[in-house]
Amino acid sequence: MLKHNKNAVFLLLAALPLALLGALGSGPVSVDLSSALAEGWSGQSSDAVILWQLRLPRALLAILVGAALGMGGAAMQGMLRNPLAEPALLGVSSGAALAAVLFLYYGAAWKSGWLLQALAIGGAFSAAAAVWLLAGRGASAGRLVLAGVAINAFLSALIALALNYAPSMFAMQEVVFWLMGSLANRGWDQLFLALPFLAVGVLCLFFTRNYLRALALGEDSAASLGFQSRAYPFLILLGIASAVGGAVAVAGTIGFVGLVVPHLVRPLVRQDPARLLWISALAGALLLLLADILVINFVGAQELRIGAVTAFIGAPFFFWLILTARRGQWL
Amino acid sequence: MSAHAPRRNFFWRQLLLGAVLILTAKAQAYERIASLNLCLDQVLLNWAEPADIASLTWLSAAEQYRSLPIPEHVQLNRARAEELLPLKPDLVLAGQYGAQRAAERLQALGVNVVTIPDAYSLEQLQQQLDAFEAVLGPLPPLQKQKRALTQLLDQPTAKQRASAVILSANNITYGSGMLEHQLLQRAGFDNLASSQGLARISLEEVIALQPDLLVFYGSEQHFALAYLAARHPVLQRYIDSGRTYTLPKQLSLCPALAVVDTLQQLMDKREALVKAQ
Amino acid sequence: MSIAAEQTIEAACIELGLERGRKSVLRGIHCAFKPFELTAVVGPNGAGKSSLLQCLSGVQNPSSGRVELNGVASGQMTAAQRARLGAFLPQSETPAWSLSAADMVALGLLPWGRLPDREQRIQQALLLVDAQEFAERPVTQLSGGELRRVQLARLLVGRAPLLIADEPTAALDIRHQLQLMQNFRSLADSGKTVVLALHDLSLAARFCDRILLILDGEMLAQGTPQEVLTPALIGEAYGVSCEFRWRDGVADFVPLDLLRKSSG
Repeated sequence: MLKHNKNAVFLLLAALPLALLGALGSGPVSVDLSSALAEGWSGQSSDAVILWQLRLPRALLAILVGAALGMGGAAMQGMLRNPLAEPALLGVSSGAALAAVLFLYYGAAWKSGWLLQALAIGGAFSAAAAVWLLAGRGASAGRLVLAGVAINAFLSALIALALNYAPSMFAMQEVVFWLMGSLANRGWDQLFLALPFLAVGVLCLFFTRNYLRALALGEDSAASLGFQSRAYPFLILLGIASAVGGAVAVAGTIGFVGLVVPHLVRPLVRQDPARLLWISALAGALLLLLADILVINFVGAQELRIGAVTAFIGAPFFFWLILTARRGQWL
Repeated sequence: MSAHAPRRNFFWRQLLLGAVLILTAKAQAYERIASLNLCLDQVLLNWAEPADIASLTWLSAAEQYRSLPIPEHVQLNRARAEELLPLKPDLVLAGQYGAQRAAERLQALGVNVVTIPDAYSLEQLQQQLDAFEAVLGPLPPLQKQKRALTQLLDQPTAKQRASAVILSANNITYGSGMLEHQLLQRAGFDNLASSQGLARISLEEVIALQPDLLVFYGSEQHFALAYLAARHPVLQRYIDSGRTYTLPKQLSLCPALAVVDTLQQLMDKREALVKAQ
Repeated sequence: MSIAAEQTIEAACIELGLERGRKSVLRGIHCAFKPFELTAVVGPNGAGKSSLLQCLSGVQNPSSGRVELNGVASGQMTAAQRARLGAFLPQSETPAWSLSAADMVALGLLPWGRLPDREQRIQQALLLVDAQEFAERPVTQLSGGELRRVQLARLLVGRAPLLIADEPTAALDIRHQLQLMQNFRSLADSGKTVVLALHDLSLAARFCDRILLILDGEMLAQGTPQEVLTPALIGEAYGVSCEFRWRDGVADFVPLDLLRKSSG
């Protein structure tokens, strides 16, 4: 059993660089990978520029965003002791997106440093806090999901409204960009914007990993095991908001990764909510990278939205969840 | 029906003038002109006598489209027949698309509605300019624009050509058959976009094509994810070396007004590029 | 075979009061718990048994008064220090994930970080509650009795000298009730300070050294089973007439009839 798990983790680890190679090899232009790699970072040939300035940052951003979403989902599920929780469902993503939309379209430009991410995280945090307050402390799964859906719908409507009044000719189309997510045309600048916030998120969740473990037994047991402080849930929420908010600010909201990934990999870490964080980050990165490879290779008039691809993968998973529940196992 | 009286007077005066000047224009000089279309708004504001304009669409007053101040007496409309009827226009200009229902209603109610064809190519643009002249008469700025365009088009095309590609919002590029493509060709550029009409172009393709000139389109004043490609750091070397040109937003909204300046600027740009090489 | 106490502890509640909202749940509770002693907290539903245990374990901060562990106010300690002194098993502890029984037991070691004898302790704890045969089974698939035993192993796997459990015998059959109480008895005998909330007065009388009787958030009586388990006190607390038949320090508790509650 344990050996089997180790093999699976090893497979995931090995698959990531392979997928990265796949992503670097995918694109509308055929590129001589080996010579472009040999030319290095500062290569001036168009092959090298395409590889180092276009494909690599996009692939790494997919990894980063996927990791943030996977880890955020694992933390959310651990904190709420609920396998149906995910950052997007609890409004974190749409909160971040709304803040980003307000800032970008009515405020300063894209390249104004960390303010965008900071605001997005503020948005993510307030949305999650609103859901938490609305549902009440120690709320049942049903009430929490209900509150999440309500806040989420409201925030999505606000995004659409804000974009409608935005001084942009592409308002309605931009709504889709934000709500379905995209990694197209992202470069190193966005990657470096998101990176510190993901790091803060990882750090916050690293310090709360044992709280998540103890919380598997319930709030009272966790408190008796030395995790009484209200700082722990706050730190988790901050970690999720930081990682997911940073990701959403550069890539828009991408659903289902945060929900599906922790589910899939939970057996690989013997259900341990702490190790689940890291394995979910790994699997989320892999899933989003594969989804982006699909997006890149999909031929169409418009680029396929990556949120649509993850939903394609995520929705059947939901069907499967319902079917197992019908067989009377749980839920 | 007192409104008819001044019009009749005007008509007689026009006839007299026409007899004296032996004008070829079949056009009447209208003095209560309304427009149902943003481009036609701009044409009227630029070329017609401000006193002759009765109504323009509200878009012309909107911050993102306003190019010229709107005279105080001009009423703004949202292209609805009931807004225009009380203004008693003697000429309503409509575009080929949009506001069709309002135009039909007005026509049915006996209002003089003239449809101006849209222009997506140089040929259509020349037809459009002729249509303007036919309905508005030989307005001096209009004639000047037509002359300038003919002059530019009559110039022999440059022998030393450069290459260019257009990267518009949402990774759209303009291929053969489009006005933008024709302007590039006339200015001495080979458009590297191999496709016909509008097509998608990725940043990778832009880099791989290695154009001499990278042509952006439209304003970047306001943020939109649609402009993300144009802001990508990979294009920085084009911007740093001055090998970019931005087609004015006006060219897509109302090419009749922008075509001459744009073509001239593109020609100048090509010369500068060739000289630098 | 039992886990010897590496440290002993005396716990005390001093003038303890707790308010929830505008309701006062505990008032002026004074009591002390000593090593080698098994103490039962009894009282009718809603009397404040759980609240008292929660205050004692540090899960709840008292509104007034204090809890002292070896003479030090527990409010002065860090949560981790306090957790290393006292372990607590709440009334219901349903694991959110289907951890294996051994992994669930391991959670009881969280306050100590990585102990060198970690695996040994887990095996020992599982052995003590006779749960080693389902050590690798997911806890979500265990029966109620099996889960209780795993929870007990989780409680005693650590080094905490103070063990607190809220109604550990609830929902167990009589065999498992007996087994559980025997486990707690031997833990107390090994030097632990054990505090249990119980409903079963016969079990309390048979296994416990001391009994605290709580009514409406106040201490009605405390002392040996013989002192506390009298028809008069039980009648006052529960509103039932009853009799205790004592044989060799063991009481058979026989409830007889409902008493008319005195007004006021």
